[in-house]
Formats: sequence, C-alpha cells, structure tokens
Amino acid sequence: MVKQKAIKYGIFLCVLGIIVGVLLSVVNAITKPVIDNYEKEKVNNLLLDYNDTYDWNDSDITDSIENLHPQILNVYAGKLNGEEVVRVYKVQTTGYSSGAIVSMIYIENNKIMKVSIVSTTSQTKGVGSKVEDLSYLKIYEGKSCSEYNNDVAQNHNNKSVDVISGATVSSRGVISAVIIACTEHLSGE
Amino acid sequence: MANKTSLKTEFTKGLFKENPILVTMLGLCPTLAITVSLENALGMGIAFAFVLLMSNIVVSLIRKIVPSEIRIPVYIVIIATFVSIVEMLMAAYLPSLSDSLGVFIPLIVVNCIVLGRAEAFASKNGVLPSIMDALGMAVGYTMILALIASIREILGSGTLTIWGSLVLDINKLFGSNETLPIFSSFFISPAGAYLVLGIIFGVVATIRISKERKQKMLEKKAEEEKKAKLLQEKNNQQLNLNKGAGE
Amino acid sequence: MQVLSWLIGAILIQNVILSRFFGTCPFLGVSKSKDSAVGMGLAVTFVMTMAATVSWLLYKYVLVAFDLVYMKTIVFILVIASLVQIIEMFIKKFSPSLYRALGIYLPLITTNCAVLGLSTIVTDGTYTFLKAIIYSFGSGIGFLFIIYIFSILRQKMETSPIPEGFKGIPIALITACLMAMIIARFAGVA
Repeated sequence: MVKQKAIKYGIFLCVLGIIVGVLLSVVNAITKPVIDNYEKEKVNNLLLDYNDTYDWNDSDITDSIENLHPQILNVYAGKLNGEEVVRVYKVQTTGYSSGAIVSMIYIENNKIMKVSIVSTTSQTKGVGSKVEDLSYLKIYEGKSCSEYNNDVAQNHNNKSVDVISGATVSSRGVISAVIIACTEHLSGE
Repeated sequence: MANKTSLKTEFTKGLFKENPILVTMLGLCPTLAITVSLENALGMGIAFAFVLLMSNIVVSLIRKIVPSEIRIPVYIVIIATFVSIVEMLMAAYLPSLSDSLGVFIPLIVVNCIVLGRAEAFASKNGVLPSIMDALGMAVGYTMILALIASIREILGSGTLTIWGSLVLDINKLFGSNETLPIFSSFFISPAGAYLVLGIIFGVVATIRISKERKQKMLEKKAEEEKKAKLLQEKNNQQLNLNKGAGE
Repeated sequence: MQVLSWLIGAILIQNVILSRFFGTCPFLGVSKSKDSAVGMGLAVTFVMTMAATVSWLLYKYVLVAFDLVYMKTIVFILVIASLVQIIEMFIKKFSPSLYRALGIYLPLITTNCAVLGLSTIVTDGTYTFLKAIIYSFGSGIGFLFIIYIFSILRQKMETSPIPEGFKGIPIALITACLMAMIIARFAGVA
C-alpha cells in the first residue's frame, strides 16, 4: 500500500516537473532574446555616447582575455583607424540592500576617462541611485589607473573621499568596480 | 442568483473584511521594502496579482487529483513556476521596474498570502470563486501597498511617481528643483517604513476597537430596553390581575 | 580582515530584518517569548547557511553550466523545503521537547523571506564561495540577535501603558523603527 502510494506520488511529481520544465523553457526562449537585445542596445548606446567616432564593431573582446576577474562581465575595445585606443570594462559589484550595480569604466592610456552606470538593482531610489548622478561620476574622470590599483587602494582605506554621504554602500560599489577595472587593466599591460 | 451574489462577496471580502495586509498581516516583507515609490507598489501589485490569479486557477483545477500528502510541495512548485514566468516577463518587457523591485519578485514565492489562499481557498473551491477570491485579495493588497507607498514617497521626497515619467513633483509646484526641506528622506529609509506601517496598523486597530465598542454598547442598550419592556409588561399583567381580583 | 568585515556587514549593517526587511513575519510572530525566539533564530541560521551554500553550488555548477538559470527560483525553493523537512525529522528524533516547542514554526521557515532572499543574493555573481557561506551565516546570526532583543523588549512592553489600538503588532513595528534607526548608524563602518 505504502509502495503504491509512493509510486503514485512519484509519477504525479514527475509529470508536474515535466510540465513545469517545458513551460519555463518556452517562456525563457521567448524572453531571453529580448533581454539580451535590450542589454546589448544599452551598452552600445553608452559606448557611442562616449565617443561615436571610434569604431565599436566587434568590440567585445571578453573571451580573448585570460584569467579575467570574475566580476568583470565584458571588456570592449574601441578602435580608431584599426588601432585600439580605449578599453571599456563592464563590472558588476554589490551595492546596497542585495542589489547589484553594473558600471562601465572607460580607460585610455592608463587614465580613467569616464565612469557610467549601466544598471542598479534595488538601490534606494533617490538615495543610493544617486550614484547614477553625473556629477558624482565625474570625480573619477582624469584620474590615473594606478591610484585605483588594488594594492594602493587598500592602503588608502577604500578611498573614503569618494564616498557620497548617505549612500556609502552604493558608492562603495562603484569604487569597487573602478578598482577591479584598473587592477585588471594594469595587470594586462 | 445566489451564485452571483456569493461571487461578488468572494471579491469584496479581499478588499476590507479580509484584507490580506490589514487583517491577517501576512506578506509584510515586500510591504516594507517595496513601498518607496508608488510606481514600485503598483508594479509589485501587478506581478503579485498575476501569480495569485494563475496559481489559484491551477490549484483549483487540479484540486481533485492532487494527493493530499504532497499538496503543499505541489502548490509551492506551481507558485514558483508562475513567479519564474513573471520574473522573465518583467526582465524582458519592464526592465526598469524589474530592477527597482529586484529580489522581491522571486520572493513572491514565499509570500504567505499566495500559499495561504491556495491552501485555504483554491484547494476547496471551484475555479470561478477562486478567480474572484484572487482578484479581491490582489486588489486589496495593491490598495494598501499603494497607500503606504504614496505616504512614504510624498513625505520622503515630495514626489509621486505613478508610472515611469508620469510624476507628480510637489517640489516643482512650489518652484524648487531640489527636494524641499520639509520632506525628509527618513520616510524612505527602513526605519521610516516600520514607522508608517506601525502607525497605519495602530490607527486601523483603534478604529476597529472603537467600532466594536460601539457595537457592544448598542447591543447592550437594545438588551436593556428589551428587559425594561418585559418588566413593564409583567407589571401591567399584575395590575390587570389585581384589578380583576379587586372587582 | 575581509571575513570580519563581511560578518559585521551581514549582522549589523545590512541586517536581514532591520535593513533588508526579510523575515518580518516570524519577527513579529515568534518574538513573544525568549525561548521560542532563540530556537527560531538558531533554526533559521542553520537553514539559511546550508541553503545558501547548496544554492550557490547548484547555481554555479548546474544552472549556469547547463544554461538553466531561469529555473533558479524553483530549484532554490525546493532546496529550502527539503532542508526544512530534513531538519524537522532530525529534531523530532533527537529532541522531542525542542520539537514541541518549535512546533508549527519549523515549516514556517520555508516561507521565510530571509532564507530564499539570501540564496538569491549570494548567487548574483559577486560572491565567492567563502563569502557566500560567511555572509549567509552572519545574516542568520543577525536575525537571531535582533529577534532575541525584540523578545526581551516585547516582554517588557506587556506591562507598559500602551493605547488599546496600538498594543501588539503596531507598537512592535514602531519599536522596530527605533531599532532600525540605531542600526542605520552603523552604515559607514565596515
């Protein structure tokens, strides 16, 4: 009797599992291309926004770099006249309250040219999302990569001067991203 | 006729009498976290409504073939499936809302209201009543979320974000581009969430208690009047008897 | 070192109850007595740490590897439900008194936002395996810490003059507001 019941339950659960699996993979097949496309467009717009004279075709060189830091999602190389002039690092870091911050760090000649935010998840609206404020992100522009190299940055106590008051954890997320990008960039040279 | 009226009650009970947040106080986690802006609250309401509606329908449809011992895991799997679907749909078609709500979309799975309705109602009733029940609960839930979110957003940042760029900016009405100092970001912080919710619950409870007291007093009054009437009648009877005896 | 900052971050700064809002239902429901609060807190810590660890492993080596990331919510909740079942059987066998005390609270851990929430957080891609374990353990301890303090406060409140409508949940929430304000002061630390 017990065995019969167990088999009955087992079959029921298996059938349920199969239906669920099929349903979800169908929805996934429909939505994934939309999501990926949206991401690609966002990134493309940011790259063109930075400099639309550079050639950004086939700029995703992520797979060609060995031992990439796990938090670096993508690396893009912008070219001018066939030569690479700028490297852009898309980094994911932890911000406030379980959310992730994805930022783009643009580096030319070992100098940080720009930092922009791709997306913030769950950052407190109006407070943490202040990191998306252009005026905050400008403080990174022109700084040398070596200032944000891992070893140096640790000594400077997480660069407390770059932190926005009240949005400490979110801005730490951005600082973290800049450090990761710079460290990776310098190690690749 | 009787069927129709009872369907209506299934819907309306979710709004006030059995409002999931005010009365049963379930599903408080997102209530505290999401309500920083009206847009978030409405978005969450939509996602929640979808999951609750679909899972109520499915659970009601299969209620006769689900073996009783494994029903809770089965309900959880069904709810999780619809949550995953909502997650994917939102990430694809409402990406900014999906980013604002963050981890709280998958957390709809463990929202006590959804599992609660599936177990307490959908598993024991037909599809149509279950649909009405789901809709009523969802509307009631969203109403309260919207109320709390509006309070917190207005007091916190002086704006009311209804959807995307449809924003009512009170600061601008007073001619300022920055948040006026009377609006404190305290209400957007976690502490503010607890405070607003605590006060709302306190007010609702106070109203409910005073209503119950009034009801009790009315009942007491009615009983005393009844007693007085009976006593009067008894006295009259006695008088008549005495009269009769006297003659 | 880093581990310490992760722990402080998890216990105080991003406290599951007071700043992430997870676990509010048991927080309000179980905190009436000190013993059940501690019992619940310990059980949640255990389940949370195990669930986050197992979820992290499954996410990296199964879901991502086989391109099944969209199944993560279902997989995580099934992991949690199974863990809770196992723990329930375990406690029933080895400590019937504890089982009686925790009674209905154990299955409630499955619907505790904190456990599923933590599993989702540590699999967002920025956590190493070690950080995932430490952080989820710390979050559990943070939960235990706050629920314990709260149970003491609530026992004191039973004898305080509180307006009728605010007794119970409302005053509990307002107390939580004060606790949240204190915790928020720690935000600049780690």
